[in-house]
Amino acid sequence: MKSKTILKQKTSFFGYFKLHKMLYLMVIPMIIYFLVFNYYPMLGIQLAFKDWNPWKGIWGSPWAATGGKLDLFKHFKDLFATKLFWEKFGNTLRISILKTLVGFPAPIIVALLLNEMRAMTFKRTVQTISYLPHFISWVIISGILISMASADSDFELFLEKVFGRQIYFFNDDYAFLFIVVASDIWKSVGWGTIIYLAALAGVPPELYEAAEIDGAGRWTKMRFITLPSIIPALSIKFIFELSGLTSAGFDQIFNMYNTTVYSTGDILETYLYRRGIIGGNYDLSTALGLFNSAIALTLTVIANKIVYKMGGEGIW
Amino acid sequence: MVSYKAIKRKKAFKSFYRRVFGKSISDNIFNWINYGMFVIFAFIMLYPFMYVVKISLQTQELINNTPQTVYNFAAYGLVLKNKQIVSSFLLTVFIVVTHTALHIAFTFVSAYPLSKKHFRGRTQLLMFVLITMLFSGGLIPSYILITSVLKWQDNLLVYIVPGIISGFNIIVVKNFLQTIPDSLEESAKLDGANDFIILFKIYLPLSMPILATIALWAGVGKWNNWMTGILYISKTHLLPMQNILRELLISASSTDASGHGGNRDLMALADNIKMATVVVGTLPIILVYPFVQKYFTKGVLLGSVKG
Repeated sequence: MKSKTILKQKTSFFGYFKLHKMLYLMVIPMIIYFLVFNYYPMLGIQLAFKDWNPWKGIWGSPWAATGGKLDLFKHFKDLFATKLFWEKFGNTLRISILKTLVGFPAPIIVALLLNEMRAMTFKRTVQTISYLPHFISWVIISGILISMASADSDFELFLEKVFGRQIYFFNDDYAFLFIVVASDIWKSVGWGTIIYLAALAGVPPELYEAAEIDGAGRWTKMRFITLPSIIPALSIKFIFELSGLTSAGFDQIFNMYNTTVYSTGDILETYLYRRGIIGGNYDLSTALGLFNSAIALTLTVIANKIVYKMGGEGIW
Repeated sequence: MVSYKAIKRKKAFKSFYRRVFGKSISDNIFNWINYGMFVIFAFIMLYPFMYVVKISLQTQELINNTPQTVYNFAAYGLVLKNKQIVSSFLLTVFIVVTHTALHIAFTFVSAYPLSKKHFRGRTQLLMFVLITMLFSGGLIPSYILITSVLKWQDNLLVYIVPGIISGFNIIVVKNFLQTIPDSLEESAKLDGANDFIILFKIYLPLSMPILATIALWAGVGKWNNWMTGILYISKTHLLPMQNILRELLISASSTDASGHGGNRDLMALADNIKMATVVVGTLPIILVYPFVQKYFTKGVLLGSVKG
């Protein structure tokens, strides 16, 4: 009883602080970490509106100006004026949309089919195998693919048998798009099923039994019981999918692309990296990054609204 | 005359058949197609791994003066003799272990006060954490922080410290701690224990499953990290496994567009040695993976629960 009074007592803030100083001690490292590694870089976004001066740093650099006149949105204007930017923007959207079109339904279909499976050992084995690629880095995956796509490898010889010619995925604009989308799905499809399989496992079996008594077949049960049960998981996935529209997968593209496939394969994030880190255009690249995250945030809000309108539960 | 045993066997087979393949003929057809598709699916999932193992075991040898492909472990021997590969492997193990241990410690200790309903300033602190999850400064401001403010280039701290606390994991652990009943804490308080003792003696043993999940996330993330090496490390002997693999596999293919020069010694290595290095670099994950899979999958579901 004594402890309860300690916990619930209405003490002054100072008294409470003294009593629980250990708790405050515990959060100090976290506060310092976030201030340095999260909040300080957030303030660095001002660089998008400044002219970067390497000797003065972010805070000392002057505000962006053209010909001595203050022009805060200079870097944005510079970006939007170049053809290159719109090309990269188009590439980003193209890759992203292709990935969504195939990659969004794929885990749903796999999960639904897995759910129909009765042999548990077989099902579990397939699941275990399908999760595996999720843990392999893009460095390794793209390394394997580059090796697989080299002339006269087993894989290329197989393609030659099927299509009549070898396809060099890393030297051909459109074949590159194919390998990007295909490898992304290969890596993520198994892992993507987890959330749906969990939703499916939560369906009470009585529902299926009742439907069977009423004479429902496999398809009727799937249409009226199984599909509605995954709608909440589906809507959350949809929100993330839409908010990620302007990020086409930096880790993947960065390890897979090369100069011969720039026309379709170079995306905003890789462009940002080359202009910023390699080229040293810190101000312009910060503007590009800000543009990208602003779009992402807007899309998240829109997607959340859409899900709400359709009667689902959003992410906030 | 059918023997009793034969009938029993037939019955057992029938029930097995029904259990495995469903009831009606249309069900059977569906099931067969379904199984067939998943066999193909599993093959596609495994093919790149099988390809790597196959290439890594191939060696060209002169037999009777004609070059022939033989299968042996020669490439692995060469990989284990390569000082650069071995030292980067050990460096990666060191980074992963240190980072993961610190990550769990910091996440656990920071999440604890936030899980206490009576903790004053809790709402504000949660907001403070949430903002770090929603917004970020982006690549360039973080890069400037590390290179010109902290000056951590070619410093091992750059592998260990960034990412040592994650807002997302704090929220996940906080939610877990909230499910532990307060009565445990109260009885310990009566015995005169302070918050630190309560945290380590009472909450820590109960939180092991969630901490295991988080340790796996952090550990695999670090094992697979290559961006840090690219951005902040210029000395080859300070590069982790993934960066060595990157130079071997991607820069060496001369199609790399990252703008970084490759390492000539590594480029010259043959395909079987490259793939043997891939196996060595992936093995730790593949070996622990079957045992910890359930923690991983649990983690995905934690992530999908609203914080």
